[in-house]
Amino acid sequence: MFLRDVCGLKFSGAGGDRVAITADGKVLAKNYQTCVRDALKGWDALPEAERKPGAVNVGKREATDDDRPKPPPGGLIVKVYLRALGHDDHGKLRHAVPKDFIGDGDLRARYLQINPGLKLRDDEVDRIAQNFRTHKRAYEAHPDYMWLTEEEWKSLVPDKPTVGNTFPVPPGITKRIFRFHLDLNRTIGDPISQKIHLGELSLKVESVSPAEISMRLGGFAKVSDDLSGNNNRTFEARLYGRLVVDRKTGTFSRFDMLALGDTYGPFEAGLGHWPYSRPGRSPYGIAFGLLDAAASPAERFVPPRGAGPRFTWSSYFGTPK
Amino acid sequence: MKCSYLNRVAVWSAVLSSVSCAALLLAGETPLAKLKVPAELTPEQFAEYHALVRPAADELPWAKISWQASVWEARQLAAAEGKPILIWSGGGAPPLGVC
Repeated sequence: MFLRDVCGLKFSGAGGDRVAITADGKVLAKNYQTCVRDALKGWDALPEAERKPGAVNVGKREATDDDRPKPPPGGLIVKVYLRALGHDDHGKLRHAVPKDFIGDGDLRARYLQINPGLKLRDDEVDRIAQNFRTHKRAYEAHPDYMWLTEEEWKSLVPDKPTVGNTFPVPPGITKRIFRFHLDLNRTIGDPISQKIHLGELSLKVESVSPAEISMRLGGFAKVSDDLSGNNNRTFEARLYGRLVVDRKTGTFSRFDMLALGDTYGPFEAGLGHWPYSRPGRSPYGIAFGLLDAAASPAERFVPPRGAGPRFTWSSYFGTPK
Repeated sequence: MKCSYLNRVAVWSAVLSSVSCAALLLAGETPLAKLKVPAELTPEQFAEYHALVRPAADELPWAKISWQASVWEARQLAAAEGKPILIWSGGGAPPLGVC
């Protein structure tokens, strides 16, 4: 409301905007590329009386200012990173590099390998290759957030922990991880909800002391963006994890999980990805861990998969709120 | 004779079973058969691969900024500290979300 009514701003939606304003609503800059530079120039041009600390009285929060999805009370926020990987000359996993995507001057052949019959002009091939050379998006770690309710994370803490005991991760949590967080499209397109072909997760108690319970997570999964059943991009992975419960607080002090595996097959059209899939089997990794205690306030509110207003409790948690 | 026949049947049966398994493997029916990652990771391997997937020190520099979750909270902070506000919006909740 404030941004629309006071600042007179309209946002473009999915395309994204960068805008700079003052605390009382003056718009300093709107150009996406030069926003920070323009804003500082505009800020410096304001009278000192408007810039000094305490010059603006913001007033009380309006109800509409807090209309945002919130994590479940008492729940667990898990930070997730997804990354395309590659193999080095010795077969060891490493970060993906442009050559993994565009090959060595054979992009057209690679394209046809995964999308037979596709017609591509030379300039289109050049543009795609250039994108992969210059944009970091395909190679960087991509953030996401997983939310567990208090009831859910407590269900992972054994009542009577005994070393060697193994128990399955409850189906609701397993399904959420597989469907929403083993997202194979993330590093190159929009987040998707995936079809689960198979998989399981279990926890094994490894050590118990008066201070903590240490558990090892293990499992596997096969998921795909097979929304139309057309043999689309698939992610096969093994899952590993190290979870530690602080017995004094009864909470998790460590919640590290890792999915490592391969993606393969063509992406389904219309998922916002770049118009290219890596041929063959491409290594891919997803790391999970507790949100850092020093995380920014915003990180405690970013909904899983950046869903924003589209986030719905029932579709994510599988239960009515 | 009978014993030999049974042995032959057993051998053929074993061969057929192997062929069936091989066919399933070739068809990609055996889950995870082509994965090169190990079934178990040592604590050292787990730490190494977990770090490999997470951001490197020089990645995602904007994620190190203490972003506020609401415009009102950002305005409060900006007014108290005498600073302008940068709003970064878009699908997928940038700069902290998925895009």
